[in-house]
Amino acid sequence: MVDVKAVSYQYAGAESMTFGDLCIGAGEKWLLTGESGSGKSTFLHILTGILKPASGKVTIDGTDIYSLSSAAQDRFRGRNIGIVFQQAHLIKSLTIQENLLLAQSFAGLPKNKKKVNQMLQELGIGSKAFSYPQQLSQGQLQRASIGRALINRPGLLVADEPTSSLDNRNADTVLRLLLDLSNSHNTSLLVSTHDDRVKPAFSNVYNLTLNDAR
Amino acid sequence: MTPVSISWKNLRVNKLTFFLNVLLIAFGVGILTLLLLSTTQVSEKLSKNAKGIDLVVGAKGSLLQLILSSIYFVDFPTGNIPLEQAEAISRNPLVSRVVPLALGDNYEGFRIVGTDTSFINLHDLQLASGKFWEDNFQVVVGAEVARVARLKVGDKLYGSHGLSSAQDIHEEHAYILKGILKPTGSSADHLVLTSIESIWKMHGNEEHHREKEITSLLIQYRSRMAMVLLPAMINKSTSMQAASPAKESARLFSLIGIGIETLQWFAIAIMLMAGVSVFVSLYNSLQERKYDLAVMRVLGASACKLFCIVILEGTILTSIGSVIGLWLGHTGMELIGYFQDSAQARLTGWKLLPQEFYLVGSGMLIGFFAAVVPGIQAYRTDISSTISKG
Repeated sequence: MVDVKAVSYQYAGAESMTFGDLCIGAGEKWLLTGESGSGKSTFLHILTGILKPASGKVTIDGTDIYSLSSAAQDRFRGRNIGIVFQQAHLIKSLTIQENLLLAQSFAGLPKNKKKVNQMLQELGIGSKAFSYPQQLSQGQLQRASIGRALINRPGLLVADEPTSSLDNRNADTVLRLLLDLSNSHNTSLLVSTHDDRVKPAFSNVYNLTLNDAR
Repeated sequence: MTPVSISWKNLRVNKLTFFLNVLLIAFGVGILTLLLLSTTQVSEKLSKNAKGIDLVVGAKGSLLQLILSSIYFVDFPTGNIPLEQAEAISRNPLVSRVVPLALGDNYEGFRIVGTDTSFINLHDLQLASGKFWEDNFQVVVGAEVARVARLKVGDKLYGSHGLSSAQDIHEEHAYILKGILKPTGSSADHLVLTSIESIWKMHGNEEHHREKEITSLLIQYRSRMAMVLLPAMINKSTSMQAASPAKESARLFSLIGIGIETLQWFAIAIMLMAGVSVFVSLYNSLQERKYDLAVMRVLGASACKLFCIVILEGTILTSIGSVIGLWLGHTGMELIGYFQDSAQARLTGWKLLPQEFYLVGSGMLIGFFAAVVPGIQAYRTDISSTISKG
């Protein structure tokens, strides 16, 4: 499903980072660990096609994503990769339902309200479809953002510190939803975290250490 | 979620800013529309009324006043001229058509004009009902007169002395309404037409054997030669004066033109200010929405799409402003027309001009250009670094 080979990246004025190879099979659940500053976010950005590496190759579902044109890359990402950030970052001017519809239309897929509402039900926020993001709690927002990441049934779901700004109860719910939904949709999952509450749920771990990154 | 609906929803987030920008554009477009409507209508009316008239001959006085009173029927006449002298000019070979006018009375504020069939031919007047006058004290009225005074063929009219007052009514003689004209859109709509003899008889000239007088003559030249010779001849060798409608209305226009131009620049300045305001609003809102844009990119929107969304925001904003501005301009024009004193020059707001599409177009262009820089910013959004900072 995902194949990362010999990827390196260099920020301006900093030393080059080299990342170890990673291969994630379809439906596998992986944890990305590492101290802060070890390049977890950089690695995830490279993996999801929003940061072009200095060298190396990222192949997702058989497509070398950095060989695509910019617009094709955007579309590929919209259809095949779901991303959940530390903050939900829903579009403030749109309702929750519209935020999910937006993900469908940006990916070039037909809008499907039924599917959106069903997804919101699954996430336990069906009643919030017509609410605006500022009317939701942090936990609800994060659930909505999981819905947005999964609405197009991507093959890969990437979550960057999805629980670190949530309390225990919400962190637990969000983690469970990530695992349950990616299981039921047979989606490969990669979660980056330094949150110890998350670790026990995963068997595959890809650890970035400062040494590895250099 | 089309780019248009996304832009529209973004615009609705900040309602006050939206309102301010729409207001600015609407105000600028509104003033320009008002100016456009009024100047075209006034010049249209001026040229329509002056059509076929090369020269106006009347008593000495102000040239402009002579034109205004004899062609547009707004100002007071400069006085009267002896019929004999007027007839002498009619016989001049340089002249092809002469229309005599005798003014001085009114019917409920509408001017009674003594003339002959040449006036009907000059303006190509047609009857909506009844027939033209054949005898003394028979009148034909314009469409507006009939409408406002609720007249029908066969009614009796009492004229009163002077051009506007309803006092001093000529009670001894009643006019019989013989016909009603079709609307023309020119000053003929507001006139009561009769024979010159009726006017003389009304004022008892016959009995007193006074020298017969008329107010003015409308003249059509026979040749271009007349343009040079006739005015000079009349001004030098008679006690009358000759005024050219083309020259006088051009002079009139150059007088009011300064005011119009000032207003025009004022409106353009407002439009430019609106452009700057739209730019600043978009720029600021993009700073706040940087993260939203990056997220949209993550969701699969291309850089071009983000550029389009921002450009659309600017263009939608100013388009709405422009359309509201057009509406304001037209409504304003209609209101001005409604409260206008002189019925002859009444302006209307319910008339669309092709130039107004340019106005809306330039409004949209202002929005477009104001959005270009913010749009480029959106286009260049660096997803990775924006998200890392978030």
